[in-house]
Amino acid sequence: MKTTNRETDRNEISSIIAEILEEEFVLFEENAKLVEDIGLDSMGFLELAIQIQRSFGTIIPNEEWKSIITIQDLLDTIEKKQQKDE
Amino acid sequence: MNDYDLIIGGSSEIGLSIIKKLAGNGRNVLYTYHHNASAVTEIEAWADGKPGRTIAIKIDIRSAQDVECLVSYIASKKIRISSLVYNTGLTNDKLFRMMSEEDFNSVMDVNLYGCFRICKALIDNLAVQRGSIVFISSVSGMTGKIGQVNYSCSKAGLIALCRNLALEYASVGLRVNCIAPGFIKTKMLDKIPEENMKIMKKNIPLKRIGSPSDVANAVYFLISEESSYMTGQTLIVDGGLLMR
Repeated sequence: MKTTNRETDRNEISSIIAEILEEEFVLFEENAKLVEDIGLDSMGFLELAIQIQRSFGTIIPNEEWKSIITIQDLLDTIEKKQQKDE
Repeated sequence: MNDYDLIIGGSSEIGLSIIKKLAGNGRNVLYTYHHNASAVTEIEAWADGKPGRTIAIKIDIRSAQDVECLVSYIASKKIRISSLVYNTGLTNDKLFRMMSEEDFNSVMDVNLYGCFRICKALIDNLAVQRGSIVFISSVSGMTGKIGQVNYSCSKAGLIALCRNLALEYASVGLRVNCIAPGFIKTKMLDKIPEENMKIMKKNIPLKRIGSPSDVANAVYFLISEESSYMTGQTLIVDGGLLMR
């Protein structure tokens, strides 16, 4: 089981997003919006979903992505799922 | 290791050949069948002592519920699907003027929509594994053939599905390819009169009907790392027929 440390997870997500966008690493704030602020498009979300499953072992079903607007929402969802698995 | 190749349609002659090729080379194979239980018996007898494990599951690919059960089984056994081979298909040949919408849909339902169903259910898992998908299409999907509007459309649909999925999933390392076999020695060909078979053979540049193992070899290549730079492609296994 991967760490549930929120800061480490935020770092990991920021790193995944940098790779998806092929941009320099930026540590995103929790209130950063995935679409408006960060610029993820639908293909970016597909890649993010797969990479999160690879890195955290967490499956986020399509319908749940609709309510994930910010980095904070994403961290909360991952945390909840990891707690459920424990 | 709990990595398995999933073969949808494992009980046909081509399916059996694919299973034997993969399991004989040390890969674990989970395969589905619909009604040909004797093929399962044959595989069970053959698989004893072979390097790869084999598991058979009975499903009807037309049923969304059956597909759900298959996915649940995979999850419950903690099986990681590293490749998917969509090999199931049927024919219902008729001239277009005699072909009802039901005749058309019955073939599309198994040959194409079933493929959509299983991909929809498993593609994220395959992507996480950086896996490989192979659809068994047909040269009929690349040319026209009298009496095969439904079959030809379904096989052409597989090629289009392959290209689109390949494009959408390339960035996460999932590869999707097709195989288009020509005339392969299966029961489907038994319906063709001997005289016509002779003419067919004459038209094939390599002068022989293909064997199921010709298709299995191509599958083995496309799911292996040997083809790691190939995606969205259709590999034609037809003895050169389409060149004519």
